[in-house]
Amino acid sequence: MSVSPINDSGFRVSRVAVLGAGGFVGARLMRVLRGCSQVKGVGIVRSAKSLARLSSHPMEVRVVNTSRTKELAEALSDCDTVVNAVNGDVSQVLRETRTAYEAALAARCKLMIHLSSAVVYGRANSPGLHDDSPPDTRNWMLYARGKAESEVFLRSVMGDAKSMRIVALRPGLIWGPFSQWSGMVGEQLSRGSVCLSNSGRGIANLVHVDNLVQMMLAVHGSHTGPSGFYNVGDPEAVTWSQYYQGLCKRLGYPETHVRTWPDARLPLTPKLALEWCLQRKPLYRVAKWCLPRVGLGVKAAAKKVVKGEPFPPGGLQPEPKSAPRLTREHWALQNTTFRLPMKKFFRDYGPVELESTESALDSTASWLRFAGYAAANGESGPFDSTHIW
Amino acid sequence: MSAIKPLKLAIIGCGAVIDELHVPSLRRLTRQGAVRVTALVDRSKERMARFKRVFPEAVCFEDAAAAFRSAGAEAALVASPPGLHRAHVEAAFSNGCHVLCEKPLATSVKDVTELAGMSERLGLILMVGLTRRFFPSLATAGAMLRAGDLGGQVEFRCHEGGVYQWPIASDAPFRREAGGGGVLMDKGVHVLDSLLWLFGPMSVVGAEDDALAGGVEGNCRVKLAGKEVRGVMQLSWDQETANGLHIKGSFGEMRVDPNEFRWIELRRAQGAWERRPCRSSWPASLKAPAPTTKAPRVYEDCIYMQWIQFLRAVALGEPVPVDGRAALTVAAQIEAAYASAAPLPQPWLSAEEQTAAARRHWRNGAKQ
Repeated sequence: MSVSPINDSGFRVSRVAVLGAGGFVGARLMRVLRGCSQVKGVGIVRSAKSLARLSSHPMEVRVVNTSRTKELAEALSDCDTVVNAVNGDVSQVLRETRTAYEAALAARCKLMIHLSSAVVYGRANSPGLHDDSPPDTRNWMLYARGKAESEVFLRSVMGDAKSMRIVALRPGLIWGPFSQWSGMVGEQLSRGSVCLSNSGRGIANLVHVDNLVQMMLAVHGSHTGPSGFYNVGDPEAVTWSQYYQGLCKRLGYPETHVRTWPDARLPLTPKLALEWCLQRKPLYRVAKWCLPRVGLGVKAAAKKVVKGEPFPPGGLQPEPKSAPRLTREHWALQNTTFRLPMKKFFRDYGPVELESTESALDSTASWLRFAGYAAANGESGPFDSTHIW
Repeated sequence: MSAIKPLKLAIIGCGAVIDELHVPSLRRLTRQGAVRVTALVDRSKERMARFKRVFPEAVCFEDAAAAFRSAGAEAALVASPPGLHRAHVEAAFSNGCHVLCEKPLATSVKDVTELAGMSERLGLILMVGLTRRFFPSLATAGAMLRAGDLGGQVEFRCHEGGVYQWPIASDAPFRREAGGGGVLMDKGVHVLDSLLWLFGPMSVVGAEDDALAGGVEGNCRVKLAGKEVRGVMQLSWDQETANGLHIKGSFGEMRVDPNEFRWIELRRAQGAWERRPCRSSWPASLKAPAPTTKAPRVYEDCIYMQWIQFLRAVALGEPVPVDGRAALTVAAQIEAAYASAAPLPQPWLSAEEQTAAARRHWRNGAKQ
């Protein structure tokens, strides 16, 4: 392993490799690391297109085939810590985790931070879940099964890797500026198509992207913290209704824009059946093989079926007379019963300064306004002259 | 059946755009006997070999000049990285070839001006691949705006954002020297061309982006103004935004979704939104003088119709939708935007991050 350079203050600069640096979380972590004097981020991406999110901030990025252990190990050889934030093919999650672990071990890294997911507990419908509860490897979602299988694998090797600590963090939905989970709210509000199942009472296991980054930095900065699995989230618990209403109010929409549906049942539709089928690995692979081979016309038609046709801007859909048409994933999320406990993380890695939900909602709403999702007649609407000029 | 003899074509640059967009149209035109791909040029033998399977008649070259010398091409499709467009278009012209060049034509006004002048002097076709000119929704919107349907004092707001998904072969689009810029030089060329086509001449009156020194912008905002029109164009490579063009005039409003070819949305005053069908069509065959016309239904159709227009221009002398002069108006506004670029306000960041981003903005030339 090469010796890390010394910074101006005489401290040894540690190097953190970020696998999946071109993703939403990876790119944010890279930008935060860019501002740190004692830690240097080294981005690892699989393909050139992933450089787009990193292109505005010049950083050290390596394009590497992350499915080849030897190649990846070479790219990690001068790094102390590896953060596995890969968000690639959902049918390859276990394989990619295994490769990342083997490469980090071969490169003699001291710490591997693996981003797992709260989805390993499905709808979190048991009050007794704790950080070391066994993950659900039979979940209906391919992604969830992959994350759960990865956890099982990492637990099995945790004892073997004496020279490398392994810390697996389980974030819920990662939100904030540039997050799809926040963009989704803005888009639904602007279309007037919000309708939450379960009266919006389900727990939104949210973690703001900057809070997650702070927790990763706390793990990296701790030299005594143990290996283990940790639930991570925002300091306060919020329901889906509170999350939507928080952004709704800040974007200038009336409260009535967030409609709810009392029932928590999932109506069976052919679309949901298809969705379920595509979560089987062989069918998913067939669909993935077919996708690049079909014409743009077929792709466009399929996209319209999946996403639904857009509604005129600013138009509120009529009051719902039937259950909202949710994807199975969204239904499961909106019907989450319990918040995952996080005490273990703070016990092992000490207090971390986290952004409050209110402040995080403010910053997210300011990004959503920038992205064009503010109410037309509200502050900074599409034709608000003070905003444009 | 084609009424025109097959055009011998050299493909310069065998990257993602050829694979994703041009191959289906070129296959179709080859079957019709309208085109023969005789040369493939790329630095990667692997990529050329892939396309050689599609166009077996083509000879592979690593150097464009050699291809033009020996392949007997009559036309070239220039699809190399934007920083190489000028050299490749010049090489094609020097060998008497007509050119269909992927956008942007070049990365500076000087280069675009010279290429446009060369095309005129030599009497060779220069068509720029700004395919949105074939979008029925934009054609319908343009016709309504020109007819004054929205009234005067027009304001617009245009958002285009999405996670970058092009399966590119190199990092060229993310290096200023190779790509000419970031999202503005990429998506911005298409969007600006559409806006200038819809609203007529406009100038940049303000520009902001998030690029630091040594980087290219992933997010930008450009303010434009013309005679009785002003508006904002906002682009992102990072995440989806409220994508679409929203236009407001003294009589009403219009919304154009760039991916929706079937209709645009309209409303008078504060009334209800209505859909107006779009039926603009383009020549779909090479027969002269009265071709059959079709309305594109998907993006693939626009690429095909672009090829038909190019072939008709070469064979029949018909005008092309976007020539060098039209590309120049876009290039001039892009250059003006880069020249006046200021740090993009990002209020979602902490105060320290905003200050650092402003201090290290690429126009400040701060040392990293």
